[in-house]
Amino acid sequence: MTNPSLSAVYRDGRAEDVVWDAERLAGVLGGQFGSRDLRDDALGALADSPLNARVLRVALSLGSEAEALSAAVREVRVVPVARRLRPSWVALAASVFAAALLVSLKPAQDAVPSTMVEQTPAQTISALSFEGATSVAVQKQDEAPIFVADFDT
Amino acid sequence: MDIATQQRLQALIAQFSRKVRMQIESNRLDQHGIDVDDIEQEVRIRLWKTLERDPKAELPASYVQKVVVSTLVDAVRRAQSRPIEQLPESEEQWVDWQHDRRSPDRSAGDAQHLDRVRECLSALPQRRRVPVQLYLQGYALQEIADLSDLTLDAARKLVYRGLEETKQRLRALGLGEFDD
Repeated sequence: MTNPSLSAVYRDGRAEDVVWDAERLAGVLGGQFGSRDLRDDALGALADSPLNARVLRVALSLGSEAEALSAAVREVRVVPVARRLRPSWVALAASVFAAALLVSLKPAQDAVPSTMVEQTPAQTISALSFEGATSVAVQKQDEAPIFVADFDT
Repeated sequence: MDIATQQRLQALIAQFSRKVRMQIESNRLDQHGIDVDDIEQEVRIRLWKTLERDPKAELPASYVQKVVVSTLVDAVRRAQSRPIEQLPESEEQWVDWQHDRRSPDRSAGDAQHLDRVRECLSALPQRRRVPVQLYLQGYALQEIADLSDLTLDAARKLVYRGLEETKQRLRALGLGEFDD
């Protein structure tokens, strides 16, 4: 045998119910209470009224669906606007880019002329040549060629 | 607004209205004498008129929910103010109330249970009482948490402790065991 349901007893006992104003319900839905006490009072009154609790719960349960509808409507309405605006924005952006390109390609007249740098011995970093002694060092001591061939014949 | 855009928006609104219908039925709000077909249509018309009136309207979610609430409130008021149906004229149409109605003993028992349940709930501190009452009204824990500005964990603890305390009081009053 199953036990009686606390929820069923509680809900059945609140059959005489009057629906609130839409504004009052919307206020609870939007969390517009002002203070914690007012919120507790509003929620307590809501919990005492199965009819209003059901009305509010329908709206509350539709929260994610309402978000989805809102986003979809925004998308449907924004796309045609974007398409209508695109040619002028594209033309504007292209002309700005072209102007910037022209300015960057034009030779600057007030640029500093290039000058030759005179090098003094004290300023020399390295005067080492890798083509002299190093190449001699790797030669074979007996001066004998490793491979001699003529590819022309 | 071009025809293609109109059709897309109307399809979106129709899809949403069907969800409204499902929620009304799953929350058993249709027991209050409202016509679900009328509400589905009314929500569709109100949302469409908003879009038609203002070509820039985007229908924020909070606005959509308010439209649902106001449509439901209007429908319930219409149902509550509807005149009482006339009594059937032929004998076959008479309902056998004796078998249909609850027995007086059972009604008295239910009323007694209800009074005791109310007493036990009233004895809970308000912080715990409101979440328990919302839970008994069928609200999910997450919904209770959102409405009461609590975390889900806090809402769960308040509800379960409150329910346990209420059941203990009912047991102490000799009313036996209760399920949620």
